[in-house]
Amino acid sequence: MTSATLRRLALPALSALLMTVLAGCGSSTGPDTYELGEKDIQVDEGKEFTLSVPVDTAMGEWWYLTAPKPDPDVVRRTDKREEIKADDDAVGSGSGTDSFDFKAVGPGTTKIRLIQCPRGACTGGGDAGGPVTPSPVPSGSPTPAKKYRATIHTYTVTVRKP
Amino acid sequence: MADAGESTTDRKEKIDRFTGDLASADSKNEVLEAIGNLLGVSAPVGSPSTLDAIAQRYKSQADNAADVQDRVEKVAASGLPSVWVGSTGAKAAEVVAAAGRSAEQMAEAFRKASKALYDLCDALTSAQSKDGDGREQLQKARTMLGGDDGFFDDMVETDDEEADRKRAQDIAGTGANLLYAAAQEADDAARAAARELNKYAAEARAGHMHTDNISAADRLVLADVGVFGGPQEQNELLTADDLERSGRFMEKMNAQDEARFERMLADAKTPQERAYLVKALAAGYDVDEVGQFRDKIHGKDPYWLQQHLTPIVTAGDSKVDEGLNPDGSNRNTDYQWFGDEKWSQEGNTCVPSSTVTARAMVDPLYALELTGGPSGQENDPDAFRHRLHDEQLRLHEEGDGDYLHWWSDVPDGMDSDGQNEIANDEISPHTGSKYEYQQIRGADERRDVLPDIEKSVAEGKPVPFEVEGHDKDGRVGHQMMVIGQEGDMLQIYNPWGQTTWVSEDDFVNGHMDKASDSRMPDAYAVHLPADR
Repeated sequence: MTSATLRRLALPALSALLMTVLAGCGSSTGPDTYELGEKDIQVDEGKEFTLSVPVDTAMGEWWYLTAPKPDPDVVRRTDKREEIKADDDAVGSGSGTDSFDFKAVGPGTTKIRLIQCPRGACTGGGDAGGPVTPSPVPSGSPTPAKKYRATIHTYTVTVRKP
Repeated sequence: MADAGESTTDRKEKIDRFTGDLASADSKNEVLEAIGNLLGVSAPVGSPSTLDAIAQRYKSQADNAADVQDRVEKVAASGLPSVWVGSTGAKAAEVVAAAGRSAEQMAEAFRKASKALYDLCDALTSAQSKDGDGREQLQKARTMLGGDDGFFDDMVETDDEEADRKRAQDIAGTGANLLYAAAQEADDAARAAARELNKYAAEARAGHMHTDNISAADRLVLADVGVFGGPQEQNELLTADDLERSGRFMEKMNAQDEARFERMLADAKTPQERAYLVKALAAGYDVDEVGQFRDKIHGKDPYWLQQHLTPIVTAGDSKVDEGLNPDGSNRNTDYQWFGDEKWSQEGNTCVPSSTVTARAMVDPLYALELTGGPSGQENDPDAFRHRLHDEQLRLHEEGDGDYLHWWSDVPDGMDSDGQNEIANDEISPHTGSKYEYQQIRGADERRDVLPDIEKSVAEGKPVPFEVEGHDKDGRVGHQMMVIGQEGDMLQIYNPWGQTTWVSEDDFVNGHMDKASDSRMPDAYAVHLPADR
């Protein structure tokens, strides 16, 4: 086995280990950040937290907060940010990370729903108004393959009194 | 000295620059120099009376074509014996219907070309008049100032001299503004006329096929065949380039090949099958190769032929403005499918992916290999997706595309050299036009390149172009293709598997997010087909 192959195997394992160690722990200064796999979240009242998701920007994918919205007495959305890492000299390069920022405003439990929209998989929002939701399948048409369909990711958030 | 050959954009740029010099001049000699430079810029060129005469002639041709249409429709209504066929199998009814539509299109083309020329004539008359007024003002200002100051005079300017200079500067400024407005008016009008006339020239489609090997009736029918699934006028199966190239190749055939090819056309079961055979010839294949292709598609229905041989179909309602999605893209977007799989990129391969689709649009043998596999008979979307992805990766390698890391095999974009190289290797051999890479970072550059884009797509040659966007982290880029044009609208294929229409103003003014998304709104480079 060549050293390049070894490195290819070793690096993803190492980064996965680091992700596991770091996910959800946040830092001592910023808000706690939760990755895609962490769907049960407990947070102290008054704290800010972030849901971080990978976004396939080169394929025109987008993520939105969708309906029903979380209980405003429990959490409030404060921002949405996107960071794209791409090679400046190449066309078609790059991928991104979307960060949905929230503040825990009061004790209770609520659900936050993020919709992952591959190209053409969602409707609503923009000039159409209303929340972004999965595109309906026209009657008589076959259901599109999973990669062409929207996915709703639901997070359950419990806000505790500190 | 005025240069009548300078472009309208150059003229505007010069007037703009010299007007700036005039405004910032703070001595008599500087004002005189700026006025001299402005007067040196050429006036809008062209003869309104000649344009008027041509427009009148076109209008009368439109009336003649409408009369032909009328007579053909009477023939169609009275009926024809169904046994009559053209030399390559076109039935009488097909010929009459094609002739009727052709006469209708001809009448409309002459009418609209006539209007385009009248509009150009009016705009040019107005622009030349404005330009003349502007020059009068500039001459007046120059007369007020008199000759150049000598070296010592120029060193001192009294209050009176300053007041005179400023008054002259004001008058010259008015003149300069008129010159600019005239240049702008002439520029806009010339561009609009070029766009219209290029389109109608390409639409006189049957006339592009210069060959005696098939009859005029057959040529008419071939030019009229539409792809299944959309309105005929927006889905013509043979492009102007296809008709021209196939005619040329037919003229070069030996007698044996000519007879074989005519036999294939005569035996075709549908007008679409016949037209795809001509398209294969236009793509540069010899009669043996066209024969093998014919064996794979013979007797297939028009829907099968579209699915396997034409990646993109334009829907009748595709130009309706339905507003924007939250990501800035057009809500009215059509997705291009083979079964339940899109003609779309997989991974960060937008450049090779749009190139694969572009080649499939102009080369039906290649399209069939992707959709129908080696036998040409498969109808399996999963297998199509597998082959499409393999082909995207092959072109990614061919264009020396980037990978995620130096040891990775995951594609991650391609530079401009690679983009042009694969367009030339994959598309050009089948259209006859080499691609030339051109940066278009400013609005004027984008506006200037539009007539070339319009001409290319009207002839049936796809035009790849790049878009980009910037944020605090850097830059992201994407490749798409202009594949159609109508009025002031451009049809865009995005390798995300979709097509939509944007206006030329959108292309010029950084609103290409309508065809991609708000991450990448600015067109900055184009690969233009140039005749070999």
